Parts: sequence; structure tokens; C-alpha cells
Amino acid sequence: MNICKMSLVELKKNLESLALSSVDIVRAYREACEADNKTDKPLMGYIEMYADAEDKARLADEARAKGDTRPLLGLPFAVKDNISIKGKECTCGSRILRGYVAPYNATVTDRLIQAGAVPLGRTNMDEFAMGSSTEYSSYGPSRNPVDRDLTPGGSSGGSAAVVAGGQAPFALGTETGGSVRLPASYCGIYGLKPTYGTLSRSGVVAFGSSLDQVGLLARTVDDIALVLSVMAGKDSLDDTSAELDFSSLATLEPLDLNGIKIALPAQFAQTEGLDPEVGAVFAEACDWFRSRGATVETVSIPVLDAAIGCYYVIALAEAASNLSRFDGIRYGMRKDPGAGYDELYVATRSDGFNAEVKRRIVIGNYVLSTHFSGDTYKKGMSVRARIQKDIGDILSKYDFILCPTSPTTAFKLGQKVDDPLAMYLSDLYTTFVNLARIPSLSVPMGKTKAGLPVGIQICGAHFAEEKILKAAKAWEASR
Amino acid sequence: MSDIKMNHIQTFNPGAAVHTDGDLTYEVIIGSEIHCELLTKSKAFCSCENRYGGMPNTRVCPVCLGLPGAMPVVGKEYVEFGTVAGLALDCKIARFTKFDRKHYFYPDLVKGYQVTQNDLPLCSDGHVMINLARSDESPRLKKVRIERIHLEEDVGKSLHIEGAHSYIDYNRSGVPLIEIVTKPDMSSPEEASLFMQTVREILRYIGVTDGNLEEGSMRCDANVNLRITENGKHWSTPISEIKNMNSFKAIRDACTYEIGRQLREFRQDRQVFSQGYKVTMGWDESKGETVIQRTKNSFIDYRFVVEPDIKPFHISESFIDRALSRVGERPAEKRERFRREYGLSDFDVNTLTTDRALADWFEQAAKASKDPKKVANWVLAEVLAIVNERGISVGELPFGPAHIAGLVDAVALGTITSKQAKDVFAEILATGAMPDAIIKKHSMAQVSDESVIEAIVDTVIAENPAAIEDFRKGKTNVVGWLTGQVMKKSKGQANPASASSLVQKKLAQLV
Repeated sequence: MNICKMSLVELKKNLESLALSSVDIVRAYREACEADNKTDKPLMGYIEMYADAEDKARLADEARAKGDTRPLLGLPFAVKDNISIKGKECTCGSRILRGYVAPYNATVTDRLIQAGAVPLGRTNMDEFAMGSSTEYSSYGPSRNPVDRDLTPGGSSGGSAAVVAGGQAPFALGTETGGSVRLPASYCGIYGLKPTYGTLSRSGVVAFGSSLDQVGLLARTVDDIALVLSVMAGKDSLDDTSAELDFSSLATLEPLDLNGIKIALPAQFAQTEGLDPEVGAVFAEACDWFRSRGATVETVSIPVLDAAIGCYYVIALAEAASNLSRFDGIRYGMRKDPGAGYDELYVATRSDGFNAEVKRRIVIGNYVLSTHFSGDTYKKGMSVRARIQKDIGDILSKYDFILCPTSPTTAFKLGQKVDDPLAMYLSDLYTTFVNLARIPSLSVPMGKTKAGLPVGIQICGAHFAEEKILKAAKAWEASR
Repeated sequence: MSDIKMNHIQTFNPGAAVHTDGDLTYEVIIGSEIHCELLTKSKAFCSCENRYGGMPNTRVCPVCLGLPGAMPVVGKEYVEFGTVAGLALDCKIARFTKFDRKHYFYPDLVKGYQVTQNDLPLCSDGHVMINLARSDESPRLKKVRIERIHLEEDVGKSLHIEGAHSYIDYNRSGVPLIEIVTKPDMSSPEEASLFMQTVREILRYIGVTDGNLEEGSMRCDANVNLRITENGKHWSTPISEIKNMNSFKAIRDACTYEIGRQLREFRQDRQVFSQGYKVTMGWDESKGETVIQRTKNSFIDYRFVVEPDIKPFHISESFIDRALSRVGERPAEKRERFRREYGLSDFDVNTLTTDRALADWFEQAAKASKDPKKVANWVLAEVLAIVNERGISVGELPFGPAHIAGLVDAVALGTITSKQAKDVFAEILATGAMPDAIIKKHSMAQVSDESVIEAIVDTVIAENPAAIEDFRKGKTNVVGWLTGQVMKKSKGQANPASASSLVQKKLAQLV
């Protein structure tokens, strides 16, 4: 019985039948991670594995013995380093938050813990979720379990690496413009970006608040559905969270695809940088949907051409604002040259943030300054409104939008680290989803000849998570 | 909300008064910005208790400390208080509004931005009528227009110890504020001070703020400049924004000083107003001077961004109706009604309405009594004497409005004399007993029952045959003596007038 290869649902069954204990599971993951750390090219998906995970697992086992049947009792999970867990460090992969211990739980982690789940450790990420490879982490990069010379993608690369690499059954990531789906695609697992408002953002360190959403990474559709059913819904601590009932997700039937209408954005098919092998997997995916009775049509959505520009205007404006609070006064790192506040801020922020974060703060502040950039921010907001409207129109006529998650497969460590523009283009197919606030699931639908995973994303209307997961389940069942 | 109906009062707008200073003339132009902390139960965006003082950093949470990941959630009471304040100052209330972030760095600002309202303020286009008359004159009103009132959060408090450390108390961080911005409609330091007093009075009346200038729950800034005419040419001096004025006297003194300073400066260098040029001045109370804190040659780049963590929201008509019912009667309306309903003088009305608690206290007594005017006299003389002497509020008195109503009515009904009323009041003050009980206990009630008095008169006549003989001989002064005997026998309780007339009647029968 290889615990590390089991899905979350399988582990749950084994726990319920008492074939396994939570301690067994936590120990297996720890040992897998420790063994991997001794190899030449370790994954480095975890920044920290929690020393108290086994104690929590033991408590879960004791609770089960007393009749506790909570849905995630004793099941471990990994969490991205920008999601708060009370009493644990939460550093966003940055020097500036080194030593900051969260005094409260994020609502998402709180709901998992309330459901009995055991936090296993925090995972690596690009600093403040700004990046597509984890190479911008102050802890150093993680590796792709499929090929250790490749990046796992980012920014939730650590979460994707530990799930794909058998060091956790599921992990939480976060998205602003594709940071869950991209690494899921690169590592060959499922990655869900829920509708804006499905999951509470309380306790999740903000990047672009109007785009941010917690995402899920797992190896099966049912695993994602199970976890989502526990976490989703209104939170009094997040004004933007939605009133929802996703409890039906716990039992998921495959979707009958007969008569389902799927739109393929013409704009993405014409992308110059689209890897032909990715294109081939995508074509196969389209054929598969057709073979099940779905109508698959290419549709022109001109506003998509503006998505990535619009995304960077809004995301960076909000990022500049959100990162203002890291000033060295109340928590985290402080560098004080002893010459007053301004010098303290400059020294702390210069040293605490990496070059990429500083670049984005500068761009964001430039965008927000009417003095320097006029009405760039306002224009960005109106383009976004147009994207929301046009995507909404498409999704009122079609059940899904289908497209590759990324134009390419995972790239080599070091390949794009000094070319920010190339790095930004990794997000080419993902940002419109965040701008339109719709849900999207990256499904590992194929591989290149070299064996590198290719993710295809299924995007749906607001709060159509269940339908998307059912469609993915139909595909998964056919494998 | 409709304007205050005050038909008999002359509203006038005197315009800016023109002053002369040597060979030039000038007008004073003052606008104001007032920050007011609201008396909501919790802070603006979290459930921390909203209260002044206490041990530093004890009323804080992840939200008001701006910890990573913490999100603001707007308190309903916060928007309600802001709306009530706006309605009380005759503003229009936005039906759709939102919050924005205003960025700057300062250690007491936890997030590097302040949550405020930039382009869609909750309230706009209001006004306040200030009364330029003395308290014993009929009102002379001037209108000061309110440009906008918006919601924003307060910041923490810094304490700098020179050469040592700086300390920050975040208990105030996230306390709900309104900022009231006026048009430059005030034309003297007195008007500026009066305006701020009037706003404070209104907002305290409706219970949205305690308006404490010293504790900083109300902070007034004044924007002052001059329009100078010299040899037929017009000049405008640069605008000074004066801060740190924590009394109404300070507002008057600071504006007065600033006017003089701007005149002197103008004579020296003729520096004139240019768009966007503004100087921030602090008022140094001990020196009696305004001191330059900061010059703004260009605007500060606050990099406003829509607050993405709070959804823009609609304000419903029913919400506004509820707020309107909370506004109730404002001071000027109350004064007008007191004048009309109780026939009180301007001076009495002004004194009785300085404080809402006092006005309400008076009105309860007035309503319970048959003679509101007499009640007013009692409140203004005896009751306020106690309040002032003890430095307490009417709520803290050992007696209530019903005591005064009962006392006034006992005199009006002739149950006790005015002289006895003073004794009864002294006892009310000492014991808190009701006047009826005190009158009964000391058998003070006047006997007005004629049959009772007649019996006493008969006894007195029977006991004093010599006096009757004198009367028969024409000595009419025995009437007074005999009446005195009746009063004595009744232990002072007989109604003196009745006693006198009965004595006369009996004597007449005897003759």
C-alpha cells in the first residue's frame, strides 16, 4: 500500500475503514519528503513541514476512535506560504515577512481544520505570488517532479510540486492571474481557480485583491470537489465572499456532455508562441469532447487581446497598494539606519523585497499616480468591465470556454528568470479568467512526446464549479 | 431634508466684511475641515470596541492592525451614523457609494493607506445656519455651505520621545470618522469658531459624536486666506491650513493671528495665491502663534485606488428614513419650538438648549407641569445653580424633572407659598423625596377649606372678647391682629387671604 500515491478520497476511505491511521499517513509524507531532500535534486516544495503534524494526526485518530466522523478528519494538506495558520510563520516567500507568525487562521484553513484536516506544512512560492516559476522565492526555487531540471511553474509551484511529487494529497494555492492553474498544468495535476467570492480571502495575504482567489491542487477531480465542498461559502470576515451551498460536491457524477456547447477562443489559437505539441493535445481534447456529443466551436473574443495588459495594470496597482503595509514598523523584518522613518522604510523595503516585487510596486504606483500616468488605472478598470461583459455574454451562450492553460509546457530552471516579459507571457491564457472572475479548472489532458504534462482549462460561468468538475470527471472516467 | 422653518427670523448673508489696514482693504475667507469620531459601538471595519483611552494597544485585532491577510468589513452602524450626521447638516445622501484607499506612509497608519471615500462621498451639498446674534438677541442667521461629508478610518496615535523612542498606540486605529468639508463661507475668526461650535452642538445633539476637542474626538482645521485690495488692484494671499486647534478659543485666536501674519507677509513680499499652493500651519497655544509645518507646492500624490475588499453599496430609502427619524429635532428647531410653545425669551431658550440633556430635562418637567414658564424659571435659577456648582450634568442630579413640575404646581395651586417652595426644594435636594411627600410630612399644605378656617376664626373671636370690643369702638386695625391669631392657630397653614376675609366677615356680623 503506497500511501503517497493514494488520492485524498482513497485515503479517506482507508481512514474510515481503519485500514490506515492519520499518523501513518502524516509519517509517510514526512518520510517521503525527508528521503527526497537527500537526493541530488530535491523538490524543495516545502518551506517548512510542521513539527506538530503528527501530534495533530494522533488527536484525529483518537477522535475517530471516539466516533468523530468529520469529512476531512485526519487528512493532511499543504498550504501555500501566503495563507495564515494560527501560530505558524506566514512569509509569502519573502525576506520582509521572515519571522512573522500569524496570530489567526485564514477562513479557508480554519474551515479545513474545523473539518478535521491536519496542516502538514507550508509550501514554496514566488515572493508575494509574483512570478510563474517559484524562482522568485527568497528560499530558492522548487523543482518539477516530472523533470527535476524544470520549474514546477508558479507562483503556487511548491504546492503543485508536493502534490504531484507524492508529498501531500492536496494543497492550497492562490491565484491572481493563473498561479494555481499554471503549476498544475506544468506538474500534471488538477488545479482549480474558483469563482471570485467562492472562497473567503480573509487571512490570505493580498496581491491583487479584486483578482485574488484561493485555489486547490490535487491529483483527482473528486479530491478537489471534496475539499471545495468543505471550504466554500459566505464568510462574515470577507465582504466579497458569496452565499453558496456546495455540499452536493461531496458526491460528484460525471457530466453527460451530449448537447453541451463549448467555445474555443480564436485569439488563443493564433498565439505566436503556442507550442505545437500543446496545440496537438488541445486538438485531441476538443475531439474527445466532440466524440461525447458536445458542440465545439471557435469563437472570436477580441477583448482577450487586451486581457494581459489590463491584468498587469489592475493587478500591479492593487499590489502596490496591498504591499504598502510591509514597512518594518509592526511585524516582519526591520532595517533601521537610525535616521528617521523615511530611511527606515527605504532600508527595510529595499532589502526586504526582491527585484521582481520592487519592479511591480514601482509599476503599480506609476499606474495609480494620475500625476505620472494620467488615467491608466481608470482605463484599465473600464477595459476590465468590458472583458467581464464579453466573457459573460459568451458564457450565456456556451457552457464552457476551453483553451490550453499555458502556451508551453514547463520551462527550464533559469530560462526566464532574467526576462520578466517572457515570464509575464506565461499568464497569456490565464488572466482573463481572473479579470472576468469566473471559475476555471486546469485538467492534465495529455503529454508531449518528451512526457511533459499539458493542462487544458475548462472555464465556466460564475459559480459553475460543479458543472466544470463534472465535465472533468467525465474526461477522467474515460482514461 | 427641508430647511429649518423659522419664518420670523431674518436670514441674512452679510457677505465678507471689508476691513481696512492702513492703505489697503481686505476680506477674510475661511473654510473648514472637521474630523469627527463617531460614537458607534465598534470600530469602522472590525468588531473591536470603539472607546477612548485605555491601556495602549489593547483594543486591536488583525483588521485594525492591518496584519497580512486581514480584510475590512463595513459596520452597518458606521454608515448609519454617517448618514444621520449628513441629514442633520442638511446634506444629500448618496444612493450608491464606495470606499477608496488613500496612500501615504506614516508609522501610525497600519496599512500604508487610509480607507476613505474619494469621489463618491456619502453626503454632499449641505449647510449649517450659524447664529451671529448675542444670546439675548433674536437670531441673526448666516448660512455656511457644506461641500461634502465622507467616511474614513482614524489612525493610531504616535508619541515621540525626543532622543529616545517613538511609541504608537493603535487603539484609535480604525475608529470611525466623518470628515466634514465646507465651502469658504466664513468671513471672520468669530464666524469660524461659531460654525465649529454649531456643528459640534448639532452632532452632539443627535448623539453621533461626543465632540471632545481636547481628547481629539473632534478635530477642526481652518483654511484661511485674504483677498486684499490695494490701489484698486486685487490680491489673494496663499491659503494656510491651520491644524492643532483644540478649543473654540484656539480657533478664534489662531485665525486672528493668521490673518495678521498674512497681512504682514503680504506687506513684506507680496506673495500671492497660486493654484495648489497651500501651507500647513500648526497652532502653538503656548506661544499664541501659528507655526509652519509643511508647504505643499504641488499636490500630494495619494494614489487613490478603489478599495477592492469592500463591495460598492447602495443606500436604500428605508435606511435613509430610519436615519432621518434618528436625527430628530435639531437645536435651532428646538429653540424655535420652545419660544413658540412655552413663550420663553431668547435668553431663556438659548440657555435651556445649550445641552440636549438639559433641554430634554426641562421639557419633561414642562410637560408634566401646568406652568412651563415657571418651570423654566426654576430650571434656569435653582436647578442650573446646582448643576454648575457641582459640575455635574442634569442626569446626575439627585432629583428628576417630575420633582420640579410637582413643586411648581404646588405653588400654582396655592398648596404652598413661594417661600415654602424654597424650603421644599432644599429638602428635595437633600433627600430626593417628592414634593408632595415633603409637604405632607411637614403638614405644610395651606388650608383653603373655608369651613375649617371659619371654625378657627370663630374660636379666635370667642377667645378674644377685648379685641371685639375694640373693633366695636372703631379700631379697625384689630382685623390684622385677629388674622394673625388665626394664622398662628392654624400653624401657618390657613390660606392668609381666606383667613383675612373671614375675620372681616365675622366682625361685620358682630357689629
